[in-house]
Amino acid sequence: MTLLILTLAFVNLAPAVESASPRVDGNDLSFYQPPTTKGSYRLTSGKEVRNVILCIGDGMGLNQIALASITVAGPGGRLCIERLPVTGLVRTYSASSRVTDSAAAGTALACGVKTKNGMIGVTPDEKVYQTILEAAKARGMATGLVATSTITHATPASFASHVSSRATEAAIADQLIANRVNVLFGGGRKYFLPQSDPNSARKDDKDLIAEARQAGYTYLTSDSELRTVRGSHVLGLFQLDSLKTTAPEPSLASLTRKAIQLLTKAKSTGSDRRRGFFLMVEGSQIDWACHSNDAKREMRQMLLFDQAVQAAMDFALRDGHTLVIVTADHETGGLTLFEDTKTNTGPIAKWSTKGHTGSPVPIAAFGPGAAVFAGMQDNTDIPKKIARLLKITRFPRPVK
Amino acid sequence: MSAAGLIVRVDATGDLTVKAGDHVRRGQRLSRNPEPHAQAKSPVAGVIKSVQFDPERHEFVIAIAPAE
Repeated sequence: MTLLILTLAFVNLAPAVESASPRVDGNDLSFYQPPTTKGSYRLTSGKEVRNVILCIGDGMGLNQIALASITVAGPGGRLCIERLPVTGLVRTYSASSRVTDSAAAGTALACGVKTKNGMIGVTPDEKVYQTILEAAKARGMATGLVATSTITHATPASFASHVSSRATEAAIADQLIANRVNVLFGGGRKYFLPQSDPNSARKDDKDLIAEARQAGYTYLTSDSELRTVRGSHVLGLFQLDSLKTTAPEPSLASLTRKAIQLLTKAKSTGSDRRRGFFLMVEGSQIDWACHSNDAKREMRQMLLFDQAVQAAMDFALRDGHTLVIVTADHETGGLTLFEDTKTNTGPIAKWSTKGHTGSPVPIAAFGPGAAVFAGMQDNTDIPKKIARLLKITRFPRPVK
Repeated sequence: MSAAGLIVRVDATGDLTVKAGDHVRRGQRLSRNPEPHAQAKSPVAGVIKSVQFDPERHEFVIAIAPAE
């Protein structure tokens, strides 16, 4: 939902919003080592899907991947994402526009229904629909959400909350805890603190961290705590706002690895038999770099996301029963790539907009059932296909 | 950067129709938002001082220096 707020007062502008800590070069890509192999991972067949890892690059179109890939791996090289054996395309329009936002797209990817821009987990008439995470949980699977934004931002919120406005992040935080998602890793601590705390962004006295602890969550805020944490329910809030995506924070790949480790050990709900897990991992800040038309920052965020996909793939290759899906909610920036004929050096990024576009986005998949994601599809098809592979019946469906 | 200005916030899903340094008239459209009811307009005549992206709120923050 579009917000337009006019502040009819003269104020001093804050400094430009930064997504990276000033302590390191936010454009340094040397942390990333591209795969040494260019070949695709092998197709898997005949195995049952027990775990699903859905990786979402916010704002990640084909050229966001290509720019990072060509720059760090060369024209013939590959990122991890580009080695997944099944590829396709996804249409992303929302119920209110040909150009979606992350709330409507997240709802499509989570609930299998279209909604208006700005709405989360509900249809345009505000009917609540079950998310694929909630359906997996009802089936006895462990669940997790990992993001580099606030954990209450539109994409992660779409998988475990239902609100008519993405801006209501305190209400989303309430629902994430009430929904008992096993693993929640991201930023946004300010939405979990009572208003008496000077760092709070809440307008009530609810201490959601205390409530989460009472409900059995282990709470942590640092990389050192992350390394040793155990438990069936873990709440990791590493910043008041979004993540800085630099040390000493844990990387998105580290968060993904830890989430997988915790989820494989988490007790199932309502059954003694462990029945796998559903994990959503978002590279949230690809979108933010593209809104600023900042190619270097886009590549850095893209590569951080690719490392998280590699972490998911490392587990899936060992496990054999894990489906990994990589896609985007929408494309941001209208990015195209040109050859620099004067210097014959890397691609030149050209942007056609500061906003989102309606371009189809890529999807790639690996593991049992991956083949169903080949070809052109609508974003609402993706959770329906996941549901079928997990033998979840009646999806999508409204919640009574 | 720090500058005095009138602040207009607009959802970042749509494109902007202005950039820093542009002169705007009162009522001129500032964004090309896909949702017609939410297209932003300049409340005053003036000059666009800066445009920044606020990732937390997924909005563009447009600062306008009103004409004298």
